[in-house]
Amino acid sequence: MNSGRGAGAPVEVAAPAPPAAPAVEVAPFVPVMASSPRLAAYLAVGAGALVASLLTGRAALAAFGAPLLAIAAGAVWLARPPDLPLRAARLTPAQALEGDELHVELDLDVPAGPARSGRVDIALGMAGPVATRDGHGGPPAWTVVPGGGHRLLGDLPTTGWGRVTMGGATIRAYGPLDLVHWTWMVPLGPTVRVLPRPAALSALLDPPPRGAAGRHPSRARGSGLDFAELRPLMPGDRVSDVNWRASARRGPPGPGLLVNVRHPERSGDVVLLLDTAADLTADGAERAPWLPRAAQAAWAVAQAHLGSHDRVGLVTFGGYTSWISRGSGRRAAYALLDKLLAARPASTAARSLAWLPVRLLPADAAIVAITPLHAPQVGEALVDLRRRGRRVAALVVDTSDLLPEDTALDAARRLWTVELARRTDLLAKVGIVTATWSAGTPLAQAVALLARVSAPLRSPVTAVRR
Amino acid sequence: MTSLLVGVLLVARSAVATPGGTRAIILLGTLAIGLQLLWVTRGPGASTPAAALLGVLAAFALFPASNKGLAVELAVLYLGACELSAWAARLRSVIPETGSSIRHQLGLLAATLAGGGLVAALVLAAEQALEGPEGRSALALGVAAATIPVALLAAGRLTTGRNPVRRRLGGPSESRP
Repeated sequence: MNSGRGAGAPVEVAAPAPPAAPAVEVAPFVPVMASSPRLAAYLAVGAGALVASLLTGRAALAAFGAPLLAIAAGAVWLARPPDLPLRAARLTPAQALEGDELHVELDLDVPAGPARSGRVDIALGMAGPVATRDGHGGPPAWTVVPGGGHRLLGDLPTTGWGRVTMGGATIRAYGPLDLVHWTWMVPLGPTVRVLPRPAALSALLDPPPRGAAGRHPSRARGSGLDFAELRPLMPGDRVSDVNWRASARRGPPGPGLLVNVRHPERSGDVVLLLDTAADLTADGAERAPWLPRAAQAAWAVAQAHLGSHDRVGLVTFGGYTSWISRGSGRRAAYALLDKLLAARPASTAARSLAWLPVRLLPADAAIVAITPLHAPQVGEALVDLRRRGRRVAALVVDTSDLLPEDTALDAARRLWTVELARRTDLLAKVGIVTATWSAGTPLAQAVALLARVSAPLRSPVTAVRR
Repeated sequence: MTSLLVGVLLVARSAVATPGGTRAIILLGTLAIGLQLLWVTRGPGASTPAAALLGVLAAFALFPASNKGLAVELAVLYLGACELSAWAARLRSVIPETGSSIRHQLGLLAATLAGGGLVAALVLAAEQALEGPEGRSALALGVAAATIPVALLAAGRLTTGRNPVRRRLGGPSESRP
């Protein structure tokens, strides 16, 4: 429990300082005092027994009620508001691979004393693909008894890839006899990026797809805009192709001037539309257990297109709408990965993509949506895009394995499957190329199927039969 | 399980000691044990009614003058049932216990039971020492002496504000890191 190990950037939590001016806002750092339900029961039973003793003259009732009142009074009298015991929180390493373990370190100071005899409980709110090792199913949690400084350590195995955030800590300090307690909700915020393992990603595209959705450059080089490489000036080269800066840097005794060689301008624009609409559960929580696999599929599709020299952009839609503009090359790949890692689900959704900047969805771009089709507004937005004449494809992420296994829900499961098939069929009817992908299976076939999106447009769609 | 056993023992002792009201105590006791079971398994929602009902049962058993000697035993059983139930409910939470926390909790439990039993015994001893015409007056003074500080403490710490740190420091903004 107590050991010395420290690395990474800690989040220091300062102790409350004297005030400069009264404030009215309630910050999450402020502890909230509450009493145990036992305190109310002890007070009620003890007072009732004493009053009954007074009325009836039975000393036994007073002997029964007096200890209850004494315990309640002692617990309240000795209780003092403690200082925030959390001093620092760390989540290391800053970047990890899927399946690696993350290490949590918390520094606490829990002084002992008559008024500090209660224990301190601390629970961390972790967001992202991470699990607790001991398997109790809840958040990482510890309990600490009074007696100086403590360093709490925890190892959390990652279960997927994405962004793991130590969102906050709920700290509860108990008073004497555990009859009153103070609770802090402390926001922390250290974030770790969990990257996918290369082997897992390449397995998705094994065998590699024959084609992707854009218009692709050949492996040969020629005139165009996309830079390919530098080579020495040769007879017949245009002067405008000379790269003067590179030539000057190289200098003598080099082969002289260098010229830019470009790819022929045959690359395409692809915009990935990642569905981040969350399912709202009965308890009001927003969950999207399928989002990591959807992001994984989006990354694989992006890799296929980037490998074909397409410019790839990304728009997350359904939950919080965010985007990155189209780009190509390694920088675009890293930007895409970063955006995918940051994708988070939400149930408050925009219902249209019409307000997005035009440059994000250019008219000649192929739009590839990665969606489980859970949220109706995503399907409606795709139909709307298709009606406007855009080239749209949809990679439907199969989530049937995430449905509950309860046999009592067989009918509901069948109905849901039929509904998803109806939504997929609706997309196909308006000319949207659809492919279904199940987790654990190669994506190459689905990506090749999506290549049909580059085919000439069908006749304009005038009606959608629902 | 231990907390439920202590609760059953409390109900049984109360029922045996009250021949006139055995049936009523058993009925109410069954309800109290059911509430205690909910307390242990479902959380603190049923804790206040369970603790209150167990206390009423114990107090009811102390009405007959012949049961005066049971006061200490019932007070200890009642405190034991409540404290053990609270601990059992806590064991079902996400907070894992450690060796030091278990020792701390056992020490707390022992202190509560010993202190409660000692106070009950002292009150009984005081009543026996002052038995006679002055006994009731002494009891009244004792009740007042115990009630007034409790009321003052409760009024000062529980009802004037739920956030003593905030009141003392003047606001939360200064506690930001």
